[in-house]
Amino acid sequence: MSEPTSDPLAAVLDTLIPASEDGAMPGAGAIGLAAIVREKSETMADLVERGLEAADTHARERGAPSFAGLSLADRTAVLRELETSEPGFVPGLVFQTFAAYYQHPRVLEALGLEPRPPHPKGYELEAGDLGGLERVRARGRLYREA
Amino acid sequence: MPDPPVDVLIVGAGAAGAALAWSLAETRMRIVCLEQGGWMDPASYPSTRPDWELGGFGAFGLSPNGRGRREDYPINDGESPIKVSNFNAVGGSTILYAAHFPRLHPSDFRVRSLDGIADDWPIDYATLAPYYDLNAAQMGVAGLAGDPAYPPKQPTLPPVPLGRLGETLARGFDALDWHWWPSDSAIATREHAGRAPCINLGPCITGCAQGAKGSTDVTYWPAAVRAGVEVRTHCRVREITVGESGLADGVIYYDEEGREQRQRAEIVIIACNGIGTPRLLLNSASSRFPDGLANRSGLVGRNLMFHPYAMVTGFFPERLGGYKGPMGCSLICQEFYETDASRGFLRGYSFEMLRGMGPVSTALQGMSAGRIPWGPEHHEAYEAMWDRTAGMVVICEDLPEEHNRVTLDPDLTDADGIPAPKITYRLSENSEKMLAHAVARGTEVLEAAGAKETQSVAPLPPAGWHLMGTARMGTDPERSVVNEWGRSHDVKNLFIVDGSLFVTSGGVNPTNTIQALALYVADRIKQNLSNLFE
Repeated sequence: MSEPTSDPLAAVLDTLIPASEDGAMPGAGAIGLAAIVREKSETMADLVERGLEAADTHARERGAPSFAGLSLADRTAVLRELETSEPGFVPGLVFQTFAAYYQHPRVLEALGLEPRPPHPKGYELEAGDLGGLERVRARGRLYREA
Repeated sequence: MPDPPVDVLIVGAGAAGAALAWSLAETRMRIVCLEQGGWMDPASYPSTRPDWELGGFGAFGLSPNGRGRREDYPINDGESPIKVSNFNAVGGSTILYAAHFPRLHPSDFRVRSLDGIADDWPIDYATLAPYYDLNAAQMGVAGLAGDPAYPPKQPTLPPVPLGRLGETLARGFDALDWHWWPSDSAIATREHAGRAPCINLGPCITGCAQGAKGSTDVTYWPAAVRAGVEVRTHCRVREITVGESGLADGVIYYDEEGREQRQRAEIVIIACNGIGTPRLLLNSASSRFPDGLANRSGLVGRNLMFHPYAMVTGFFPERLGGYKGPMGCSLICQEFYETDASRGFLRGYSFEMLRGMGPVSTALQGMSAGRIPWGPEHHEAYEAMWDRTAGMVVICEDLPEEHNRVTLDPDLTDADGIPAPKITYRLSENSEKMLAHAVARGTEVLEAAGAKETQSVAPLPPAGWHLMGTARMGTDPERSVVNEWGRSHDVKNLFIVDGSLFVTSGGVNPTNTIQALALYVADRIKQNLSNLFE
């Protein structure tokens, strides 16, 4: 079951990126991305609403009160069906969900990253081993005189 | 009374216009540069924001057709497999370039003599060498002396760090006994001329918030402005006008409010890149020049050269730290640069290593490549790709062909109503064979470096960064647009100083050569001031 939420979109996001089995990576809906994804999907708002209604319809056909009431396996199956019956709904949400998820501080920390933009702190970078260049030098001139 | 003419009017404040303005400033002539963009604010660059990886989808995207900035002009590139990438601002496309900064080879200036194809340049490597050196000092070029792929040269700054990713890739080249060398990069690896040192932010191609990358808004322009050059921003030139004498006498442009303005000048210098320059010349047609200004050869807009690019990516079992460091600058391989006819094509290419991707880019590119699905398998697939990719771009030499060209689109215009350029371009058979060879060799070296899987894209559609050949230099007015120092054969006070001048393209990024040419042309102007129009 998806976590309870007031936005039915959260259950869809938790299906697109569910929590990992070991719990290290959260579900996309559980970390509150629904509002962000809605905002970023503003140009396809009608498509999103139609897709959500279709998801609930499929859920009722499976005996659940709503899409959020389905198991993860059933929610996945429903979204697979909607990929065909509601063109654009799933791919559009996938793009926005992936983009929002991998900016979220909790996700970045789970990946071993500091949750910050690159600037102003930057990163340390190893100089690297240039020892192989002796071999390159030893081969001699590579360019043509002209 | 109209305003008096300025001595020198430069159109375009990018790589070439900046270098030229800086060099000419010592003459104390009155110099004005008209630029259709504005000054950039590094604090606005995407790397300062949490959504930094999405910068390339919006106002900092590569294509002027998708950015939605008024400063840009649209380009009809529907008839080209390679799409134009540029930027319009003080600094031009150096705002977004990766700052990979190699020189051409000596052989690149003698293609006809050495390989029997295309044409020789009217100048040679030795002529440009002192200007490459001067440019390295002004732009702040990091690198390592001793590269056997080049005549001796001395970078100004220590090389960009390889990092774990660069070391991993170098292992592949070593295993195959191929050439590799730390990249020449216009990146301040330590404090240089008031620029802060690089702190390995990563996304150089959406602007450098640190100011370490050598974009000309932080290199040449501050010095040129201090020396008295005026940069007039948000001014879009419609046409160059010609007086009764047959000399250029100024330009008509639109200012920031869209008002038509006129600026008279004694010398007009165009620095608008390989697309913008022929566009301006063709838009400057008149009864005296019905086919476009300075186009009695008929070659304005022809011989358009991109560098056909391929991208080869390897998937490695270990994490590489590839999200750190200048994304386009670590090491270069020129094993296949010089002609070897046994390969089935003439001329050659460079491999330039790429860093890896950030977390969002990994997800989105993995999604579009079908490697990272949504659903229960998502995390496992993501983990297999995150920070485990490394690869390279291939930069193939493009040969000049007159059918590859820039014309004016009959319908498309910019925000000021000025006709926009149209690109007509197709890959040659030589380029197709070169790309196939490069992808095979690139795959080979990634596997030698330890990649478990590879994937490739060839040609790479959005890689029209390098815009060359459309107003070529030469000594024969029938076969070239400008002479051997950038002066129009047809209009004696009109000069061109950008990638349009290139006779052939070489197989490396052109910015260093574009700027060396601009410095060379500036010196010729200074040396010939007393009889410049003869």
